[in-house]
Amino acid sequence: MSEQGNDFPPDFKKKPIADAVSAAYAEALKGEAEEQREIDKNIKVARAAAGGAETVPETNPWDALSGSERKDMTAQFHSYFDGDPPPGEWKKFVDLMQKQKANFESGDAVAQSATREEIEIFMAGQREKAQVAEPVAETIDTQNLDLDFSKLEPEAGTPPVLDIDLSSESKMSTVTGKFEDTPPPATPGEALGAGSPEQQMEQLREMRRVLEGEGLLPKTEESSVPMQEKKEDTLNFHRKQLGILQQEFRRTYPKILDAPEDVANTYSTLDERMRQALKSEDATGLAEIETEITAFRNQYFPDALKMAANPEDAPEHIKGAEGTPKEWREKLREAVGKVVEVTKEKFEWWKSSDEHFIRRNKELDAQAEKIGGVESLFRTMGEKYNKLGWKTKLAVGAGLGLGAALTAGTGAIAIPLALIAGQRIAGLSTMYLKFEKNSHQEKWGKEKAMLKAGIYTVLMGVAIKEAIEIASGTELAHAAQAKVEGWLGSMMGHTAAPPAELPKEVNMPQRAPDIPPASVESGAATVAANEGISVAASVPEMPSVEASAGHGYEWMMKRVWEQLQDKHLDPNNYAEGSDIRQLLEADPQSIDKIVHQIASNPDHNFFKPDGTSVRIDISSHLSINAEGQLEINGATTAPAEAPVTPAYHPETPSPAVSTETPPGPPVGIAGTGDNPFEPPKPSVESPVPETSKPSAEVPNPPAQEITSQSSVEKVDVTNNPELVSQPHTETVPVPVPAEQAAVLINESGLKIPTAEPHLYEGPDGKSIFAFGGTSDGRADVIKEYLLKNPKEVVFIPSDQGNFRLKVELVEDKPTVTDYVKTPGFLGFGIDFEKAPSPNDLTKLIK
Amino acid sequence: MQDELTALIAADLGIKDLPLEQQQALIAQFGEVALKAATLSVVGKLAEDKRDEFAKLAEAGDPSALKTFLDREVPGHEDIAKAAVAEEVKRFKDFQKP
Repeated sequence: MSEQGNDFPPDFKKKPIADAVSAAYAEALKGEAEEQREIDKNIKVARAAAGGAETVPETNPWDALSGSERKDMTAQFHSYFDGDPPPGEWKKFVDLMQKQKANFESGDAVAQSATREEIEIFMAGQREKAQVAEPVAETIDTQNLDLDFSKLEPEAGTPPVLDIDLSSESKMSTVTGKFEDTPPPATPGEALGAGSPEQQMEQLREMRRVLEGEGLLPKTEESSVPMQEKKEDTLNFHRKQLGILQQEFRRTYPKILDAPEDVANTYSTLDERMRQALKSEDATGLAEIETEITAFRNQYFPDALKMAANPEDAPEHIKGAEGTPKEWREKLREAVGKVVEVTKEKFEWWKSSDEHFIRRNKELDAQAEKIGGVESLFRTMGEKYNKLGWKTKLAVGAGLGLGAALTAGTGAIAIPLALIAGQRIAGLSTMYLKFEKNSHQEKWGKEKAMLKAGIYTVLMGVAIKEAIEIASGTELAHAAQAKVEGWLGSMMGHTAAPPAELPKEVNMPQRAPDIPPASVESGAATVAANEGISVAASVPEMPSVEASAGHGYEWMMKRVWEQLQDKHLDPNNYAEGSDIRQLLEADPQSIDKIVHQIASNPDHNFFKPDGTSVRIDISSHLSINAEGQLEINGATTAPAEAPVTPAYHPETPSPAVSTETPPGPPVGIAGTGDNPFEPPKPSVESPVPETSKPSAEVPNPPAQEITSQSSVEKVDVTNNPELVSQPHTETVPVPVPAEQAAVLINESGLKIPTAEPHLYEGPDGKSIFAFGGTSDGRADVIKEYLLKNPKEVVFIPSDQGNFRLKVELVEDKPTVTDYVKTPGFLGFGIDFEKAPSPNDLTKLIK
Repeated sequence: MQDELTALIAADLGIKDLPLEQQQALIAQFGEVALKAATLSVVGKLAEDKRDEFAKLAEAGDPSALKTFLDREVPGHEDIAKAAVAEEVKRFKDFQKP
């Protein structure tokens, strides 16, 4: 890496620059020195493009870094030969310098260090030769040679040419320094110039020993050379180490983009210090910064690519007799080679995968054009998708069941397509936040454990549930979740465990559809998502309550109040009179009054002066905004034109309602009509107007009868959430008045004696319904039938008469095994079948 | 959670050995491809004169309306979409094979 060209600007976290540099560094995964050169250029270009006014150093690193060094070295070289170096040696010198120049230009610190060592060894050899050789007879005015190596730059494809006569090079004796017609016999110095720098060094030492033995070298010179060598070796060692470390360090640059600012600043400072240290001659300083860099890396990027040579491979005088520069360099090269090889392989794989998707995307676009009518949609979808942030894309992917790729066209079409094409991106962000938030809640502990076990389909299912909730506002997505998980499991070849909400025990029906779980969502998070910003950790999480059938403003406010109890918020931190302050200051005795007071606040316009109230849609949620005001779906004030319900009823059940609070149907299912804020909708279980004698033949809904404990025992519905979750009341079966205990004639003309329990065939000719009589009576009939037909299934109404339950024979016992669901759309819009009504009955079976 | 989910998806896609940035890039690309493939497969079954309506519904951003529309116009769209995405899964897995 070029030591000058890769300076990170002080504000390198500036996003455009950071992104551009990051992209350039991604290219660095190619790993090889020659590719690094291209990367350096990209970085320069990126900086120039992103930074605008930022200046890119134009100075040739070779010229800037080694101008004086080169001159000094050249002068030194000449001094060995009294200004007349042998042409062959001069060429070697020039070649080395040119090689180093290329190293600087490529930014290859390792090569720089290696070449520097070569130069130093070469110079040492020349120094020794100069001491034993006579001045050569043939001289060249090399002193005045132009050492501007740029002039030696070859044209493309043309080898460099030195404008000096090198013809006699082979005739020069490295021992005598004279040019001879015939090479002298081999001497220890003959091989000088061949082999690696380390080999040359060894050869030099051997030659020196020979010369000393022959008295050709004075002893006084003996100690100074090793000392110098030691010093140089130490310096070079640290330079090499730091050079490698610098490369490794800069490869972590992309990670810094996501690091806290202080870490990033430290990184920047260390990088600058490292750059300066590499230019210095201070071995101690090099070692110090090396230690600091290593500590920083280990602290923040312990898994970063480690390229540095083994410290054990230090020069002898640093670590002992083991390991020579050559050895550790070879090890280093081997290690780097492996890393480069693996990295390159991965990069190539990624590159091909990337191209695969690009190609596939184009194919799909082409198909869209071919089909016609949706080209614009496709183009829009692609463009908008590409602009999404990673988290949002992840949300889309999760909604798709990515990894298993579709996971049900649920998300594949209806959710992501509509949300993206319709620019409801905030919905996707919110989905992700909910998804992320849920993952940290205790209730998802099981799923998290499964995640760790590698079974992520559960989470996928959860994600899809969230997606469906966003799109349809229904908690019934749980059912879709189960469905998707099963499909994912089969797609990915592993088994997906059922989610926590769906118990496996046959006697335990799946989660009660009548009782939607409290859905807690961070209001702040939602706001943040809608604003496209991150949620600050310090922002307290505000309660949020989803609407559910049968419940109004006051009920929702009370749930908000309950959630606030766990927040331990100080009321004084909120404006006096604000909704949140009123709720925080309320106690169990005053909360009813407070919520009514807030609901009646004309600022909200929830309740109208004429007694009507703004209707709460089933997909609504009540939360608290940043100002501490309650808001429905993000609005503190109901729109004037919002539809209203005819009258206001406080939460307290009216005397006419049973003490067993009828659970509302799942969100998204038509209400029962109990909700004063939701107009009653036509229901198949309403009294049938087509009956011949409406007033006399209206049957009591079956569910109203199945509330006795005895009947529960008989059909073993003790785990029925409708019963478990609600306060049980030992209600006695409502006696059917004599005038109602008649025969009902339904739309099919079937006569139904409502006071008698019977089994009927359903409209599909297969389903069997139990209808009429008391729950005890029906239980007996069902048991008798199932014992004779153990493989059959009988359907009954749920206790509240809203939904259809499946009864099967389990261990010779009629058992409610599940709620019956509608097919839905790829898991989307799955609903629960309503309880059988008289009009569903087509034929009397028993 | 983000990293955890990413890692798990990457594992299933067989790209877990890649650097995180590259994993994210591929996952994002895969999402787009899967989305388009599923959409296209269903649209392909739509009568030509209904495609504009489909596009408008999608751009309106109402998943429920879109679902209702498909229920009516493309019977069996669930299986169609499933098959399309399953095909993309297979296509990518085949691509990964040496």
